[in-house]
Amino acid sequence: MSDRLGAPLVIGTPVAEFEPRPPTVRGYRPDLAADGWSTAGFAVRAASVRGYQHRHDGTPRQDDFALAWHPSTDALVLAVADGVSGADLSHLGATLACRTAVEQLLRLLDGSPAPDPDWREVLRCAGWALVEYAGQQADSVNSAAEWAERRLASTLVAAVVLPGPDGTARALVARVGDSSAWVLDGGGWAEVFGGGAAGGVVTAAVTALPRVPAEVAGAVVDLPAGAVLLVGTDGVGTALGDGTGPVGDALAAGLAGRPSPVQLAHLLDFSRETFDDDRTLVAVWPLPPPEPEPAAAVPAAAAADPTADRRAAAELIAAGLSPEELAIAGLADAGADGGGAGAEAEP
Amino acid sequence: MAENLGTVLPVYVVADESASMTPVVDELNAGLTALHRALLRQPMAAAKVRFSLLGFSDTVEVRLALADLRTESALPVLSTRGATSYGAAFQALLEGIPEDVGTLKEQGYAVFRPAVFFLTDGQPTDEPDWRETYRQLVNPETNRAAPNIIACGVGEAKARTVLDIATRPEFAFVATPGTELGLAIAEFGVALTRSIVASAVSAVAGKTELVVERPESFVMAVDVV
Repeated sequence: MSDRLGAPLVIGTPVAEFEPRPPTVRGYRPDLAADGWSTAGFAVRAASVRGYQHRHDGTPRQDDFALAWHPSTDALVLAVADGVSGADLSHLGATLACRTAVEQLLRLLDGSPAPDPDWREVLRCAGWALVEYAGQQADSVNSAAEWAERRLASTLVAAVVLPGPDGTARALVARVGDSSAWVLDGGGWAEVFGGGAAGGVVTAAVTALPRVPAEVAGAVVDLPAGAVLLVGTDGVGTALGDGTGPVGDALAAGLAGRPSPVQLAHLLDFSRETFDDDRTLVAVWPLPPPEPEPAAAVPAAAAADPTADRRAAAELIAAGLSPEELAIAGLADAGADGGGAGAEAEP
Repeated sequence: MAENLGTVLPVYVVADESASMTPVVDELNAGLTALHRALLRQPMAAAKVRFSLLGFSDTVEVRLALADLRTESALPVLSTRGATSYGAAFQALLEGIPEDVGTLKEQGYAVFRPAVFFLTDGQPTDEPDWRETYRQLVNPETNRAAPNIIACGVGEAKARTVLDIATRPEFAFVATPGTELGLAIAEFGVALTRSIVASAVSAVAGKTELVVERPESFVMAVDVV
C-alpha cells in the first residue's frame, strides 16, 4: 500500500493526469464512498470510486453499493450496482437497486435463518424501485417503466453471506447484467458466474434493471476458511480479467492485509490506461472462531472482546437471565444488539 | 496469454482519392487535422482508439495503420489520383481488419467491433463487381470482425449507393444538395471526431456498440431517396 494516499497506485501505463470536473446532473453523488465493519462472523470492506472517464467528463459516479448486517443470524447482506452510462440518472437507479435488494434480503432472513431466495422476485423488487421512482417523475404512470429504463437503468448483483463452522461461509449470489463476484483463495481468483465468451469481437450489450431476465440463476458459493468473497462491477472485472495479470496481483496483495475502507478505496482507484470506468468492490472475510475463552467467571477478561461479550450475553439470555442479572454479570450493555460500546461497562 | 490491456476500438477512415476529389482534398485533410486535435483533448477516449487511414482510387494506399493518435505529431496527407474502385477499398479492409484484430489481441487487447468511415464523392467505376467483396466484408458469419460502416456521400454521390455501403440506414449520410462541398467535408470531420469519441465512451461503459452524430447540414440518406 502506498504511503501517499494522494497519488493513485499506477499499474502499467497510467491514465492522463487531470483535475476531476464536478458532476453536471442533479442528485448529489460524491466521488467515492467507502464503508466497513466487522461482526462475530465476518469482516467486510466496501468502496466505490468514480472512473477517470467520468471525472474527465463531469459525469457522476454511477456505481453504488449497500451493506447490512442481520443480527439474529449474523448474516451479511450486500448489493453492488452499475448504472448504465446511457441513462443520465442511473446513479440514482444504482442506489435504489442496491438498497431495495438489501432490504428485501433482510426481510427474507427475518423469516428464515437459512433462506432460499426467489432471486427473480428479489431482482424484480429492485427493478420496481426504479419504476416507482420514475412514476413520481414521469408524465404519466404508463410511461414510468419506460422512463426508468431510459434514465435509471442499472445492473445489480446481490448476495447473502451466511456464517458456517470453523471460519467457513456460504454465499448466495444472483445478478442482472455484467457486475460479478469472485472468490479469492490463496492468491487465486475464481469468478462465480463463469467466464465470458471467447474469441471474436467484444459485444457490448448488457441487461439492466428495470429489465429482469426471464430466468435468474442464483449461485451458491461455499467459501473455505481463509477465502475472501468479492462482489464488484465490471469496472473492476474488465481490469481484473481472469485475475492472472498485474491487476489481479495488486488487488490480491492489497486485500491480503484486510485494508481499511479508505485503503480499499485507494487500491480501487488504481491508474491503468484504457481502464477508466467506475469501480466498486465489496470484500467479505469470514472470520475464524475466537480463541477458547478463559474461565467464564471472569467478566473483566471477557469484556476485552466485544464480540465474545455479545455471544456470552446471548447465551445468558437464552438461559433465562433477566437484564438485571446480566448487569450483575457485567454484560448488560453488551446484550443489546449492536451495542459494541457496552463492552466498556464496568461490573 | 498476453497481459490484459483493455478494450480498444479500431477506426478506419477510408477516403476516396479519385481525381474528382481534387477540389475538396485540402478541406478533407484539414478536417482530419481537426479530428486529430479534438481527439487529443479526450485523452482517455484517444487511448482506446486505434486509427487507420486508407486512401483509395484504382489501388489502396495505407497512409496510417493502427496508430495511437496521441503519439502521432500529424496525420498523413491524402492526395488524388485515378479512378474510383470500391472493390479495391473493400478488399483491403477484408484482408486488413482480421489481421489488425489479431495483432491487437496478441498485444493483450480485447477489440470492439471495428468502425469504418467511408467517404466518397462519386460513383464506383467497378460496378457491380465491388458488391461481392463488400458482402464478404460485412457478413459476420464469415468475417468475425465484420465492421460497422458509416458511409458519407459528398458531391455527386448517389444516395442509393451510400445506403448500400452503410451497414445500417442510420449510418448513411449524403450532403444536402446546394451545400458547399468543402463545408460538408469539414462537418464530416467534426462528426467523425464526435463519433469516435462517443463510441469510445460507450465502449468504456460497455453498453452500446456505436454512436453516430448527424452533422447539421447532412441529412439521412433515407430522407433523400
